[in-house]
Amino acid sequence: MSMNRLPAPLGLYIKRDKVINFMFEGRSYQGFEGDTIASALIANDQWLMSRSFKYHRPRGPLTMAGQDANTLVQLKSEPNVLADKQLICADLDVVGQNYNGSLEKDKDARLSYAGRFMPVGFYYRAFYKPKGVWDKWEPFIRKKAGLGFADLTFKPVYHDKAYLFHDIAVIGAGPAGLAAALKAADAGATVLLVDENPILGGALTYHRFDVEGLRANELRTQLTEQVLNHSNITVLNNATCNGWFTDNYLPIIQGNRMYKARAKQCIVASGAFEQHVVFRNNDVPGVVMSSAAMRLMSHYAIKPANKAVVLTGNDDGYLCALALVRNGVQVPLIVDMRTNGADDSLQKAVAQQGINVRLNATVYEALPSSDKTHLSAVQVHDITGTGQVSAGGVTIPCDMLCMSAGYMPVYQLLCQAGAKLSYNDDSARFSLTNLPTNLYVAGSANGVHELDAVIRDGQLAAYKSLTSLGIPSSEPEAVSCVKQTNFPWPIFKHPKGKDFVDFDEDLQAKDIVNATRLGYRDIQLVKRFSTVGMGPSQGRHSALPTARLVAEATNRSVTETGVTTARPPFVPEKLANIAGRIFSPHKHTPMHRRHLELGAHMIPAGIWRRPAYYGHPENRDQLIQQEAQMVRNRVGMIDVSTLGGLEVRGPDAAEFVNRIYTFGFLKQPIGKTRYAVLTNEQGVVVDDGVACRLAEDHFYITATTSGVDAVYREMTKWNAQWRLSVDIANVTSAFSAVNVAGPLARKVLSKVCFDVDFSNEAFPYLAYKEGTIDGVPVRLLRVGFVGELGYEIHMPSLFGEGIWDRLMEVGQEFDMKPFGVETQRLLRLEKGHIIVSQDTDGMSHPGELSLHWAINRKKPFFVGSRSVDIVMARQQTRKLVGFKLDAQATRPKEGHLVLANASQADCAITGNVTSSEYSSTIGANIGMAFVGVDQQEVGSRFPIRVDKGEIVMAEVVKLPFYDANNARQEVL
Amino acid sequence: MEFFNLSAVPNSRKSLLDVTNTESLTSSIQRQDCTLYSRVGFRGMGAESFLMSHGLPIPSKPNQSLLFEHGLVVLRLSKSEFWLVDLDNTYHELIETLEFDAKGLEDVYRLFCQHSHACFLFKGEQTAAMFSKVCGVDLRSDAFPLGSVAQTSVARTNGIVTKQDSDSHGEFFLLLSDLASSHYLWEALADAASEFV
Repeated sequence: MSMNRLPAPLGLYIKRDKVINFMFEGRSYQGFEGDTIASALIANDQWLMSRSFKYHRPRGPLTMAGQDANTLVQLKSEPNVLADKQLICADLDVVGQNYNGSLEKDKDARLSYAGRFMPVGFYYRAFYKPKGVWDKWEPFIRKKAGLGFADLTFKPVYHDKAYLFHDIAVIGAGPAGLAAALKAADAGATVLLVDENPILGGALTYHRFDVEGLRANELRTQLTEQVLNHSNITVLNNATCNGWFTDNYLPIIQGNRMYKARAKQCIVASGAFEQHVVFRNNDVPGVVMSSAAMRLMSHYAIKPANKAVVLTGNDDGYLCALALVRNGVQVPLIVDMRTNGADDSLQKAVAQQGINVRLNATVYEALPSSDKTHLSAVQVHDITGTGQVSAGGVTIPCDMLCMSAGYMPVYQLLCQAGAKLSYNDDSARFSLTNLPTNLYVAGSANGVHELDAVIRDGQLAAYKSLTSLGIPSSEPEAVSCVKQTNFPWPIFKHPKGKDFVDFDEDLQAKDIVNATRLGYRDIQLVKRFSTVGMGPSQGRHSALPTARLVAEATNRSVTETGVTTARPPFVPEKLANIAGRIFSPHKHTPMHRRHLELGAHMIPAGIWRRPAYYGHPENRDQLIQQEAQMVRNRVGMIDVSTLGGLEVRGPDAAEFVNRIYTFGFLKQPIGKTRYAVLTNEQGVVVDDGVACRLAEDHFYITATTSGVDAVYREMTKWNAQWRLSVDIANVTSAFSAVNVAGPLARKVLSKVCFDVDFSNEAFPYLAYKEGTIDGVPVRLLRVGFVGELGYEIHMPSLFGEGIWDRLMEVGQEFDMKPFGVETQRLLRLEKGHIIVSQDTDGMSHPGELSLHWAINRKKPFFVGSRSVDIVMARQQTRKLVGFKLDAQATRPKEGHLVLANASQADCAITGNVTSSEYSSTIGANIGMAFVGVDQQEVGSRFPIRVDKGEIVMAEVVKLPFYDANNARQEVL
Repeated sequence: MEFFNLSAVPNSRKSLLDVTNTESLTSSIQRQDCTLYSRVGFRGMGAESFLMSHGLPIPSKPNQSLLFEHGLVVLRLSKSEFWLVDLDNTYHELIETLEFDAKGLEDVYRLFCQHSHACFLFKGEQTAAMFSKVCGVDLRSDAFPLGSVAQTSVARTNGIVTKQDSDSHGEFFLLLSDLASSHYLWEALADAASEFV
């Protein structure tokens, strides 16, 4: 493959000494390091890169700046990659997108002939009549819809995020941005300069600002050298500021990292998008923006054509023509849509180069080659009125057409910030107003195009930012710019159509006009009906012609019509960029290593990791039953470090606890524990635990694993009102805990804790004591959650692993082993103990849960007391009951529905199963469920709909299932 | 009830960290786990005068820290909350004494940071840059001078960050964060540090 390159210093982006081979459409190509896919292909005379979305028209680059969707290509693991932004690298394998057959000969290009049957918005009015026809259309449409394909074997690569903090963020490193950054940095501000290109300079890297073509490069060299050597300036190139959020919070994507920049001031010097001319076949490969031709030459040293015609509405087209000629491209004609043409110096310069100029004329149609893959000629007509052309025209053979219809500010970030984009219909100029404080605009985004004025405008924005920061600096002189860049009506509708307004969606001029004729007068409605501006280029080129066409069709001005809303992101961003390096905080108990060593099957419990049981998940049911039997018959130990822990200390501690929880705590004896139920202000049970009274002014309270943070928050919130003299501390992580449970539990404890009398008399059920194990201070709670003699041992967490080891060691004598949380759930279920948030929901009041006994009716207040009275006085609708099923019956799962009756398929749902497990102790499937109030009678049966619609009948049983006399926890 | 001594048996403290995977990482940022060293916290309207009566320096405003002598950092987290963190494992006796002396004092509540929090020390020129990957607070020198304290989110966990300078460590950042998340956080920070070689 040949590589057609111009001599240095052209080719700012490429390194000619580093050749790279890559594949496109199965053929090998060569490029240089720094080449994009598009530039490398064009250097090899391959312009056709993709097919358009709707009509499968051949497409090639339009802007060479990633601003259009004409170069969307498929990589091996990534669809919809912009070929004019993606750099080539070794082993890169690229194919075109959206074709049937081959890229060169796309069978679906025939759709273009069916265009008259696919008018704007046709899909809203088709495919649904007669009834059922959609089923026939759907497979075909799904097959044809979408661009590219997803690689389902794709392995995610590392992405992350980082914060940046600067006084001033400058978005865009063109002449305005460079000047702004330098002035701000010279004054002492820290500056973040962001640019999407590999080297700084913006338009200075490719645009020609003077006839000789010298000034841009001189200025770029001077400014970039100063910027890169300035200690106050941080440069992010190849980086895109993808949105503006309040207070200058700026997401900036650079490679695999998203920076979240916080800037006190922000200057947007984002430049302007060159606009195209609407005429027939304006999408044929070879029809490009003038700036694209300039980029090809300056950035990639590519001679873009042999013979080029320039179609312009401003002086920049002349400068482009001069650059083309200088680089060996024959330019037979400049077609100037204006009547007066360029200024004298330019006219003279192009005349000297032998370039003809035709004023008050336009290209009316581009003529493709016989294979339709490239431009072969243009047809030039005189302009006879706004959007009108003469009947006859001349055909000019060429292989490139450069368009310069004008510029539209890169307004997206500014409009996201609330700026108002206005358009003067008389002068065809844009302006941005209503910017929030601490946000400024400079350069061509601000409608300033003369180079000296652009520089001053950047400095002026810096001055304003510095003033806001309180940093003194000299005030630049005011900026004015009279340079006319926008031709007011570069739209020449053709009776045969294919005069594209929006290349992404193949929308023609008539489509926009027809949308207004169907009643969609508002620009936002036109967008949604026609999909204009909804493609990957997000209206960068279609917004202005659409506004113009809608304005004309509805007899309004463009200012009145407006443009569509700009929302973040500015360019498509990957979900990986948004996700970054995913942080998933999780907590381990101090015994975590031991659980792993013992083969625990770990499960998440809120933010914690807990052992479900010890052994392989394949043996789950068997392991749970074995562990349960161990606790029932001998002794077992469970890590309950995840239990919430709260310390309430101070003179008003008892009063505080008494107000928070439903029970009475004022007279709770020291050294005793008491069940504590927490209701919220709506009377719903939201947490429970055990309150231990350590002293007159000191309570240690446990809370549920997942609820403790909310309980702590509620406690501190309430005391902000109550102003009681208490200190509240969340000590969940400070204490680890184990529960040693089973008939032999006392014997295990007696082996390690010698300063506590574990006899039933000295340490009765619900008592609290403190002692030491190997010198480590521990808190001991006599509990009965699993229905056996049990002691919870709470110790400072850094001792947790050591105490665990010690207990396991002495427990060997009694064949004590650890048991997991799923086993604990079964054991407490047998005992009829509820788990708040598993057996309750957001509506469960104490009455439904049979927790009347845990509510002190004599005290004047507790949180939710009034609501509890109200909800419990209402007619009750459901009740939490225990149920039993034969061991052979299908076991219901948690969440399965309880029905009003078994025989009626569409009967009411009266409740749901909250807990369910097989109990080898009981010899049956047991559980708890909410049932209707008329279904709660012990001995009655109620239907549960289980998997596959099967109905099983469960029997209501009195709780607990096990040890109703509480004899087990009193074992001597 | 007997007094429950959190400073007891310091030699029996065990770290939750498994450093076998992360210690092999090469980074210019040095990390040290000080979790097993002694620390204590006090809260209450009487806490400030209690600490001053023991000759300890007290930061004048909340969210500031001071270095006492060589290896004890005193953090003021609010008007009435103070943490004392031993960096070099040399202040255990002082901390245990303070804990005992606070017993029974009105308006002085001993806090549980010895066992509720992990304590990590970071040093190296790029430490602030490393934190910028996991923390939304600007910890660069201009914005976060010596003695500053930030109570913030670090890699989505609650963290207390302060910067100090000592003879033994030079300039360093101290991070105190939930003990139960320490394994997660240690690895997250190792990942963040890995690019700074």
